[in-house]
Amino acid sequence: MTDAFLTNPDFSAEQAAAAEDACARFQASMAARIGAGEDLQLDPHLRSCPRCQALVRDLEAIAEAARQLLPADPPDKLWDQIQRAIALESAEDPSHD
Amino acid sequence: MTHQDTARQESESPQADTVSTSPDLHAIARAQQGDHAAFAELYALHKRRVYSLCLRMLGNPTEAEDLTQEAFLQLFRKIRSFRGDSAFSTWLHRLTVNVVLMNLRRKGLNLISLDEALDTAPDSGPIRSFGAPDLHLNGAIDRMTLEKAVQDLPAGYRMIFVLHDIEGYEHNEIAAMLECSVGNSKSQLHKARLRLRQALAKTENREVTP
Repeated sequence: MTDAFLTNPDFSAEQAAAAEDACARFQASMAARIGAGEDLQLDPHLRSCPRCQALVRDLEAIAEAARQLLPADPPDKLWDQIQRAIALESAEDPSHD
Repeated sequence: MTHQDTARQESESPQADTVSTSPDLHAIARAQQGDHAAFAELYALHKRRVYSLCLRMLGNPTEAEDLTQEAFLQLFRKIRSFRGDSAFSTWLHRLTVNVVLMNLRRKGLNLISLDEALDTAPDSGPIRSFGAPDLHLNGAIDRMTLEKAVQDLPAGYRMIFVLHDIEGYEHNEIAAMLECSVGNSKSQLHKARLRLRQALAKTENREVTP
């Protein structure tokens, strides 16, 4: 409904502002409500607002993309550095060997 | 299941790895007896995961190298105490997280009051999402762009996002590690994702605008 208010010229500026205010209030409340364990999918505003639904879809897409990230290789020199540090530590405390 | 999923399950996800793999078991047993070649094998098997965790939690390649080295030194010192109660990779992963968190605490980052840490971020103004593009509609999220955006997150947001969304820890585990409430972990994760959405939208706008 919100997008219709924002894009339809038949709606007044006041109605568009009210719709945007509803989105603002909902989005501002999300973090605290999620923190409290609330299921926002049941929220009446979210169920009727394409803009806020798109926001939630975006956040889900970001989480999904994060799950697909692959690990990076460390520089080759790092193993030499670690070996040197281990050798130094072993020399100081032979009980490691 | 994609190749990526399979590869991730084999060695990357702390949740998926419930038993140590065969190459691990032989190398662990030998490394516990002081066999340096076995320790080198363990390094080769786990270096990417340990380094990536450090890099993503810290957002700084030089620090990530230092703490990867510190994590493997800790492993060298403690490997004899590994009893196999959990998967080796899970144990090593947790050891690495602890090394990073100890480092951040030494540097004075308040891990308990994440909001306080975040409020000091230079661009931490109110996050408004109206008018931002729907990334679903504008295409898939580019891996490199996301990596950069994660790297640029304020430290508090970055830690929660990396631990939950990339590394697969549950909120109760994160709460225990960071000594915060489960609710705090959940709400900070939401704010981190919002911040990332904002950064990704800016990148998309720059790419679209001639």
